[in-house]
Amino acid sequence: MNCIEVMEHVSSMVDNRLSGTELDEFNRHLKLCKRCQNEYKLEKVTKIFLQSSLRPYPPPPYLEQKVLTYINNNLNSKNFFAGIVTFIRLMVKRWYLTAGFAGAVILIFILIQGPSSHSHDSPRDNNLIHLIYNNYDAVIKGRMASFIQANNNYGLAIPKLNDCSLVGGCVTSEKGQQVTHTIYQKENCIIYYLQINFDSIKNNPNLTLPSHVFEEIKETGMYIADMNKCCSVILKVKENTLVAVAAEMDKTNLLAYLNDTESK
Amino acid sequence: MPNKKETAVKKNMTLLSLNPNENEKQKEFKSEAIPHMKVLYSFARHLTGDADDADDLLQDTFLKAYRFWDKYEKGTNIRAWLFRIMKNSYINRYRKVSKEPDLIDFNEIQEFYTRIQDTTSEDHDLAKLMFGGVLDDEVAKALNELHPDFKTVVILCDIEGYSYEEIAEFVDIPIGTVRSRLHRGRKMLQSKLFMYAKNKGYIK
Repeated sequence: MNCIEVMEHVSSMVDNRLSGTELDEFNRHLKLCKRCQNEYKLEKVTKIFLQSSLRPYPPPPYLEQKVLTYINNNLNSKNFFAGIVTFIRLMVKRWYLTAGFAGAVILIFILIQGPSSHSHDSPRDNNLIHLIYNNYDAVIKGRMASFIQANNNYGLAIPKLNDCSLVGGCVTSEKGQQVTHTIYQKENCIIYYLQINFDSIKNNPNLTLPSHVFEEIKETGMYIADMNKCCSVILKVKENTLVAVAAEMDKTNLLAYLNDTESK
Repeated sequence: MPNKKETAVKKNMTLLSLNPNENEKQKEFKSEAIPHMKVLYSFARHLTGDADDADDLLQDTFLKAYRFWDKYEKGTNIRAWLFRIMKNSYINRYRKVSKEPDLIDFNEIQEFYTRIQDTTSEDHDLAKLMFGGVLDDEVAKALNELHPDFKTVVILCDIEGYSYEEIAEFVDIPIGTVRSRLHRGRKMLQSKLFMYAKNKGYIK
């Protein structure tokens, strides 16, 4: 054996795996080569030191149960996710079924939900502005149409609004006060008018306006409600009649439209 | 009387029953694979150098073994199959943290050994003179720093006491490769331990 061959067999020698001719040749070389002898001895003492320092670890208690529980938990979650993955794969593969299924779901949703709508609901109290919002809500949801038809008793002069068609109007009694309602339509926009005697809501505990609204009307002749709703409400007093207008348009546009209409 | 923990664990174990095929699979798995868990734990513990990491590695190994139970060829060496799964899991999991080998001057080790070899004829005493004072934890750390290919064969041969033939089957390499990896692994370990001993002032 030469040095290279001895190095190839050094581990086998350390682990007592050499025998016969191999062992003889190995030992013969070691007697002649100090460096290989050192290599062999160093590997041997390294193994001895390692074995004296590190031993097999005993298993901790509950090892088997712990591993089985881990497998169990993972399989349960895996089954759940595997089910979802299989379903998604099936849906992708059968895309026409998926499209049909999605269409059916959307149709059912539309039928249940009805056309999209939004609400202008406000508290039902003695605040006239809340009453206006609630009436407007009733108008756009169609609840007021039948009421107007059944109470077609409009006895007052109908205000004329340019570019608007008159939908209808009626006179009702709200908390003991006579109130006129008129509904116009301008393209797709519904405009609701409410008229009431201004004096009748002053100091009236059943139907009134907040004090700051009165003050603003007194000072400027009008009040623009700002309740963060999608319709605007403007109150104006003209010849002791309070006119309230509600429409689903920006308050600036509604005011401009009103001023323009009145000027004509 | 079983305590609460035991009861809870046993309750969980029974949850494994899903369907007749699954039950059969579990029965086989429990009788064939689970008995090797203890030796695999020790291997995992040395391989990772950490009790929690060893737990994770063992759990991953047995989960994979269970999932791929149908890939196991009945009658073949199941312990070797489990060892291979564990080694591959370990390499995948810890691949990024393996360190670059240190640059060691082997001549320095040879010189030191030449100085001490005549002081005793006992190998155990020589081992103490070479690495004396290096703590068990430091030995474990040095072992853990080896590349997985070398670390695996050193653990299996020198700590767990497996034969070259068994190691060759476990790791799926020829016996010649086991031999050469053992030689190189021990040599690297030797130099690491020597450097520890030298840097800590255990040897002069």
